[in-house]
Amino acid sequence: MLAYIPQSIENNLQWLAPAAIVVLGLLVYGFGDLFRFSFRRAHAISSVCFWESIRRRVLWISPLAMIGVLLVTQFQKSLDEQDAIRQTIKFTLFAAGMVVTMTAVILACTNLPREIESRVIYTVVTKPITRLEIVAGKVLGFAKVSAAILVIMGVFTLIYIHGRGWSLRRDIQKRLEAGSIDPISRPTYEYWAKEGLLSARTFEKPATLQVYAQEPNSDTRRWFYSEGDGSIVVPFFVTPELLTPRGSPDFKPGDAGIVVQLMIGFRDTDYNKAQPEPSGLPIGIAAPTTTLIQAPAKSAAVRIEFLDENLNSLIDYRSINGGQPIVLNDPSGATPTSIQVSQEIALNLLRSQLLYVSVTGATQGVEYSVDTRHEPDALHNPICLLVPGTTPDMARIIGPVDDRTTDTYQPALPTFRGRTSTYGQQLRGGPAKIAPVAVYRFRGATPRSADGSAAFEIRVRIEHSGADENDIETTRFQLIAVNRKTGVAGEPIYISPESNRTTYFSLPSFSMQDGDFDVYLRDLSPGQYVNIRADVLSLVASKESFDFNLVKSLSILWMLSILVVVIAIFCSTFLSWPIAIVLTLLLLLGHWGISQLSDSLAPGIGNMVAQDLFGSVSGASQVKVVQQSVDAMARVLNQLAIILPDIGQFSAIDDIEAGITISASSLIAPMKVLATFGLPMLALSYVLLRNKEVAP
Amino acid sequence: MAISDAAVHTEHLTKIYKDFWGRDKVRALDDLNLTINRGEVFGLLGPNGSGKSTTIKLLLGLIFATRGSAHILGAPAGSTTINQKIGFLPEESYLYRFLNGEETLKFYGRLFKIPSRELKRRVPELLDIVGLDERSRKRKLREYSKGMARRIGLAQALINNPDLVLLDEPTTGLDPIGTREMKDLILSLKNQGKTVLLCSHLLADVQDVCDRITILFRGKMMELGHVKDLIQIRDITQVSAKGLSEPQVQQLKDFLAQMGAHDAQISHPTTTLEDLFVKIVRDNTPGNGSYTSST
Repeated sequence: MLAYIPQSIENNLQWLAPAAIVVLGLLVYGFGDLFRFSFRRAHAISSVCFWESIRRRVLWISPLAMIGVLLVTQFQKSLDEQDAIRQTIKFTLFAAGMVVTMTAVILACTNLPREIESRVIYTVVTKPITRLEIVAGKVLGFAKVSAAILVIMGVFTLIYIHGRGWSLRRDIQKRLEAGSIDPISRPTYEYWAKEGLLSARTFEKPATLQVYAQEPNSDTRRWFYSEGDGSIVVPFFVTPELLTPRGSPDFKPGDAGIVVQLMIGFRDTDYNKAQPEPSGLPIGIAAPTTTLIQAPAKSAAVRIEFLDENLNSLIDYRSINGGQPIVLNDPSGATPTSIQVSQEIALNLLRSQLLYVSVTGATQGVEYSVDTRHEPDALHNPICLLVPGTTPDMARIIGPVDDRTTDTYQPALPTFRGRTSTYGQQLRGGPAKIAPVAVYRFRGATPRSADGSAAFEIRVRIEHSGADENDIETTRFQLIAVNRKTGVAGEPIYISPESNRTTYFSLPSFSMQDGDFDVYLRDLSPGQYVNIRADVLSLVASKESFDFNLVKSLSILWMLSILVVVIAIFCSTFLSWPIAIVLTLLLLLGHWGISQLSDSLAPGIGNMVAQDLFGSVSGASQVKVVQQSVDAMARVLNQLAIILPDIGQFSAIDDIEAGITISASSLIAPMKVLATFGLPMLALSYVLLRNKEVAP
Repeated sequence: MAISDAAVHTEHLTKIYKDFWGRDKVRALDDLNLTINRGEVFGLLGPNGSGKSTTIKLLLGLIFATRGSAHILGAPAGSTTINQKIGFLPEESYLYRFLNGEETLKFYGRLFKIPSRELKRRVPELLDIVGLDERSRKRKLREYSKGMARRIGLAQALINNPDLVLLDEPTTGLDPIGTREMKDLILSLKNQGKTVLLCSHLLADVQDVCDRITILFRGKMMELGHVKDLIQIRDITQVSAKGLSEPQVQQLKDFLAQMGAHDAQISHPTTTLEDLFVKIVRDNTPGNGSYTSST
């Protein structure tokens, strides 16, 4: 039945279903009980639940969990002191979460069935108490028990982590004094010794990352290197309607193929002349060297490729232009170059509604440029798509997607990318004048600096090609902050990061005053590649007490326990306690379980299953039955996933473990789950209990 | 009598328990039409399985009627509002065993939203009435004897000073003194103008305190009326007199024979065993005070 819900309802099912349950259950069916709801009576029920748990020594589980944590931390293996403290935080909070969740499941699932079985419920429901007050009281009672457990575990966590942090910090200071730390790691250890290992910082992340061949200057032209060390990508939306040629009603999507129009300039460069022998690996795959295919020329060539919404290849460059590079003849980039793409390829583009056109330089010794002015006329953008019509003026022009920065259409600008790697993009190391530059753009990220400097952190993975004789062991970065409005640049600073370990540094903050600034990053180490992503560089916007962060983490765990309690009470209103426990766990983990199936539930799975079962036989009735059944089942599961609670929203450990302040949104997300799933469950529990004969 | 004037009023009240498939399994109560007046002590009698407890559960909303209706103090049975005026003592003391006596009464008092100050006064008073001493009040209910559990159960039933008290087998587990005190309490409640619905299969208990009774058997009402009317044997005349000698007794028998009576029995009246036991205990208690259980 769920499979045939209208699309408009299906799209809003996550809100409509809970709202309908709450409105019908509480406001319509239970209006009278809601009207006479007494907090005092609910509190009386909650007190009984709480004291029952206390007197049954439920809280004794907390010391047991603590002993478990102490034992596990004795066997932990950590990379360094920071990693050790992170692991400890993870273990203690995981133990707290596990204890509080399991306790909540068991207590809440067994409570109501036990009261009915022992008939204690007789003396309760015969008092002037509504079933709504009973349900709410029990939720409140077990929430109190969870809070008590979390307070005990929290105090233990606080004391233990502070003790361990203090001990590790003292060791670091001793090692620094003894000089037993290698020079590369010393700055990091000095930072830990000064700032401590327990931190909670709020980071501002860059809005964008661009990898240019040259530092941006005052004009709007930007450059990228050839042969995989640089590329540009531009996003487009394509639909069957957009791909249908104009001029005849008989045209179908993709009938006329598609034309890619490029306005790309180029110039000679010295960049690749000093580069080593070619790697032979295809473009787009991480390769520590570039390909030398030809000498610099008056003309230059590029290759284009279509990427899907995840920037994975949709149409390979070998399928376009017969696999040959596309020759550009105008170095200024003012003359358009057009490439016809076949009908078959055009149809394949519909596999991803959002797609990217990627342009990669194919001529050695050349760097390419595009104008990054916002150009409302799609035809004057660096890349645009055209669908030919019956006459030239009937051609349909598809511009880049709207960048959504203004109310009117403004085409998205190209993104300049480095070589794609497993860990993001590779930034080649080299001399300052010719090494590519990664530009991190910050928007509205005013740093809080008291001493004229802004704190940053960077964590990158460094690869040594070993092919360059100038390759040096120590990596050296140059970083400069540049204000985007005034163009004022701060003094460059130089750091020596370690691979896969956070490096702490500061930049002068005077160029960051209005919060709209760029940070230029260059790797000055020839023969090295740095793997970067937009999120590897962070501006430390503020610092917060670790203890307060821990309180927030425990609050998230508490909200999780409330959700567990509500689900458990709902299940226990109509099931015996063992079955109620099983159903509670199923409801809790259902969303996660379905999300694990992900691709298996994608549209078209029915067809794939039918083909696996019956081969290429098409049209047979049994094929259709299997196909439709599997599709319907997949749709039902997808809809269930929408309704079931997403416990991934209760992220209590990841941020605090990484030393990041738990944000307000991280606290609001579990509240939303409680509102959209917990509240309806509460309403359903009330309706079920009100209609239940409590005398066995 | 109007529904609102009656303490309890049922019309065609029927309860049929169904099996998993919805088929009739047991007809626990069949077409019960009953009216209990305000201020009377009413006995619900019958052997085990006759429908007494089912009737009580229906009146309290613990289970729902298959057919018919039940009203208590003018409101539909099971209504949470009317529960404000009801006290209920179940056949066993179904209470939270991890609470002590005082905590139990405070808990139930809070369900009636009795102010804390009022509760502080009322709880010890009730514990005195049901005969639980200071030490017993602080003990967990799991440590209570059966008799003590009945007493605390009775106290919770009276915590709200109810207009209607439903007592399901109130003397179960009580010793003779406790039984007598329970009966005295029932009569005391009657004197306060409260209605008592007593459910028991111990006829002596019912006979002693009830104004009217009904006898259920296999879910059907077999008898309904005043106790003295129901137990009266109209074709038997009993003569009682003091100070007669044996010859005078013989003369009386002869006279009755002349009047046409046959098989005349004249004997000394006896008290009940329960009365004798109470008299002995009370006569032997120092100070002739009342006996309380504190086992």
